[in-house]
Parts: sequence; C-alpha cells; structure tokens
Amino acid sequence: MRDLPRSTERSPYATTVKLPGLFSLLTAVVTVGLIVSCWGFIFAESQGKSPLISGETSERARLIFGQLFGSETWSFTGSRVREIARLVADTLAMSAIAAAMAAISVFVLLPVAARTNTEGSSRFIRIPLYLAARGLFIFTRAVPELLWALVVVFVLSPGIFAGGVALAIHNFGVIGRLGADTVEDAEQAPLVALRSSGASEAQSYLSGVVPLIARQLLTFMFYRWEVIIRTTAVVGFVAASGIGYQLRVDMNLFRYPEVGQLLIAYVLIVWAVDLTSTLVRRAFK
Amino acid sequence: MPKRIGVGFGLNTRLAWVVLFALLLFGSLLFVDWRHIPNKNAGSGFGTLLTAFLAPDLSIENLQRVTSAVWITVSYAVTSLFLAALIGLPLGVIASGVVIGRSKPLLPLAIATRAWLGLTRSVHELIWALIFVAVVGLSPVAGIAAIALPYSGIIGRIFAERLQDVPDPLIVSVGTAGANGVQSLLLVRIPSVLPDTISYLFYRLECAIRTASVLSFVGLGGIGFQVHIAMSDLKFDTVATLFYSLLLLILIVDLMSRTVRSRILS
Repeated sequence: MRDLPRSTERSPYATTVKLPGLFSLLTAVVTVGLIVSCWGFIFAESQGKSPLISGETSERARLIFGQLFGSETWSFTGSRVREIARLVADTLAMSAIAAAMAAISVFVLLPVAARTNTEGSSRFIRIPLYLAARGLFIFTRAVPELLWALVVVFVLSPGIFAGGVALAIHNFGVIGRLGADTVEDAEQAPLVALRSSGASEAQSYLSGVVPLIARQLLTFMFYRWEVIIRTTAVVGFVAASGIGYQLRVDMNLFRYPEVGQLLIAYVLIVWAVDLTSTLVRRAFK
Repeated sequence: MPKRIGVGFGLNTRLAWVVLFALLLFGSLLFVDWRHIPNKNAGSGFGTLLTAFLAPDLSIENLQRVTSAVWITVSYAVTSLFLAALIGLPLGVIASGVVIGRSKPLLPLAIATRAWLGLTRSVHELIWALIFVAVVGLSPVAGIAAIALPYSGIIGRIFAERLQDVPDPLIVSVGTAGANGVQSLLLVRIPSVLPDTISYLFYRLECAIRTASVLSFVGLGGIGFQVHIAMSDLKFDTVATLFYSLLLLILIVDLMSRTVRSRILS
C-alpha cells in the first residue's frame, strides 16, 4: 500500500476539536463548585423566609404595582410637577458634576499613567509613578460609588457636591483605566517623530498625545454619564439629595403613588441622557 | 449591501455639544449649596481617613469578620450573575432577530424583547431592590432578583449586538451551504462571539460584586453592611480593610478573566 501524501494545509472550514486539558477541567470544576456552593449558601440563608414567587408575594406585587402606576399616580398638581422638576435638576446637576470631575482629574493624571508617555524621564521616577497611578485607578474602581459616598459624607456635608465627589471617585478609576489603555494602544508615530525632531517631553506630549486623549476622554465621559445618571439616584440615598433620596423616603412611608411618579421621572431622564450621550459620541467619532 | 451613510457632523456640531455641556456644568454648580461643603469633621477628617487607609485593621478577629462578609457578597454576586446570564443570553438571541431572519410574524417578538431589555436595564439595581424587598420582604432572593433583572437586560442587549455584528461573509458562506437560521446561529454566530461574551460576563461579575456589596442599603448583609457598622463606630481602619477586600476580589476576577480568555483564544 502506498502512503498518501499528507496535506500540511488545513481546510479553512475544518474546526479543531481539542480534548479537554487539565486547565479546562480545573476551570470547569472550580466554576461549577463555586456556583453550586453559592446557591447552597443562598438557599440556607433564605430558609424560613418568604419565597420569591408565591401566592402571597404575587398578591402583594399586584397591590404595590397597582398603587405605583394607578390612577393616583397620573393625577398630579402643578406644584407636584415643580417639586419633581427640582429633584430632576438636582439629579442632573449631581451627575454632570461627577462626570466632569472624573474626566478632568483623569486628564491631569494621565501623563504618568500610560507606559508610553514619559520615555525621556528617569526609570526610577517613571515606573513608581506609573504603578501608583494604575494602582489608584484599580482601587477607586473596585469600591462602588455608594461606599465611597459613606466615606465622603464623613468630611463633606451631604448634598449634590458630596454625591458628585463620591460618583467621581469611582468613575475616575473607570475612565482612568480606559484612557490610559487608549494612550498605550495609540499610534506611536507622531510621538516618535516629535521626539526625534527635538521637541521636549512636554511639547511632544502636548502635540502628540493631548489631541488624541482629549477627544477620547470626552467620549468616555459621555459614555460614563449614562451609567452615572442611573447611579446618581441611588447615591442620593447617602448624599440626601435628588430623586433617589425622595424615592427612599416615600418608599419607607409606603407612599406608592409618589414613588411611581418619581420612577417615571427617573426612567425619563435616564433615557434623555442616553439619547444625548449617543448623539454626542456619534458627533465625536 | 449599501453602507448606511451617517449624518455629517462637522467641527461646529462638536463645538456646540462642548459648549452645551459646559453650560450644563456651570448651571449645575449653581445648584450646589456651597455654605457647608467641608463639614465640621473635615479639619482632622482627611488625616484620620488617610492614616486608616495606610494602616488597615489586619487583626485575626477583624479578618474573620471581613472574610464572612466577602463570602456573603460573593454568593449574592455569583448567584445573581448566573441567573442573569441564564435569562439574558436567550433573550439576547431573540432580541437580535438573527434566527427569525426575514419571517415577518416574529419581528414584533424581537422588538418587544428589545423593549423589555431596555426597560429593565434603565432602572438601577438598588431601586429594583427597594421594590423587590417591598414585595418579597427581607430575603436574599429579593436581592438576587433585583440584581439579576437589570443585569439580564444589559447582558441580553450586549449579546444581541455581538450576534448582529458577526461579519456577513461568514453567515453567507454557511447560508449558501444550506444552513438555516438556527444552524448558522449555533455553528457560526455563537462560536465567533464566545470569547468576547465570556470576557464580558467576567466584567459583569466584577460589577455584580460591587452591586452585591451595597445591598446593605436595602437591609441585606455583606461587605456594605460591615462598612455601615464600622463607619458608625468610627473604625476607619476596619473600613479600609473592607475596601481592600473589594480590591482583592476585583483583582482576582480580572486575573481569571485574562487567563480564561487567553486560553480560549489560543
């Protein structure tokens, strides 16, 4: 029998089926184990408590939703509209302050946060600064806005500004990471050209990097603004202002028609910000 | 296929947006009550906080408390993300409309699903949690449902977008080979979006851990609950430990995401 010449080229349609290796097996075992033990813990914790779906809860859900979006919700007075408009304005103000503060502070820190920026300076200054900036981004990102808010209101009076600072701290980490990654992945040619033609480090940063990141940071800021506006409402729990605060107060007093009105206003501003942000990001593409 | 021509945005449009946002920002600053911004603690407060974060409480007793809080938070996060993926991924397939192709009768279903996904994700998890706790009472399942609902909305939307963005040549090539919508979904679309989807689910796990840590605001346990207690006892070094535990969790998720992704892609 004659040996057939083996084809070294693989058909582009052939899919490679790999046998599960030790790594895949381990990943699968750990994943399944984690999910099962977490569910086990949750089941144990919810013993003796009301289940999610039962006759009782569906009856209560019907009652609550009936009041949330019932006839009383839709019969509001002019003064109530002004009251809600004020809360909406406070919420929008908090979110805008937060988005701007986060973007501006990233802009200030970005020169040291990207590996590619400061090739001229000494390694002993550059690397610790880089690590410190990246570390700060990860840490501020890891802690959610509401927990930052608890710390912030220890030194700042509760209000729009304190809420804005708490939102800005977390989003500083998110935008910072996105921004630094963008600068590192960006085209290096302009920077190299500027450096080799004798521009100082500061000059080449200003003309080689800033035009790029200014636009990117604006895009990121508007993208985060969509997320921030959603969260602003709950940061109001701690910052004692805006829609979120009033929502929690009315919820605790079982004033469901009022809660329903606030929920409608909340969803409307979330959609308005989403739309604005999409338009702006398209304009800056 | 004709390429959609976008609306031309010139420099003027961009400038207009920047000016508009700047105006909004200045308007916002007018809403701030500037009188008492730094409160009476502020003088010594910054120093106290900074010292605490430089020297977190690492005593055995505190670490035990932190570990059990971390476990509660991780359990809430993992279970709610599992549920969200279980609901969100199939809804994403329906919302993408890739299976139904040109069959008109099913189009309203895709649109309705898209609207549902949009509505659930517009409302923040904690506001859902307020509603769920009002309906169900103070039970872990209320918290899990509150996270899973908006997360299924965002996972569904992202999955739908990814499925739609699979390059046409791939779809056409299996289409001419006789594959129907379901076959091209299973053989082409899902495998080609799998690595990105898995990365995205890890990112969502990171978000779920953060959200689960603040379920204390509706009365459930976990990291946030311990932060509340430590803040009211003015034990800032304990707060620091709890914050660092979140940092550790996020680093672990990041590492897992990178490892799994590089394994899938290689």
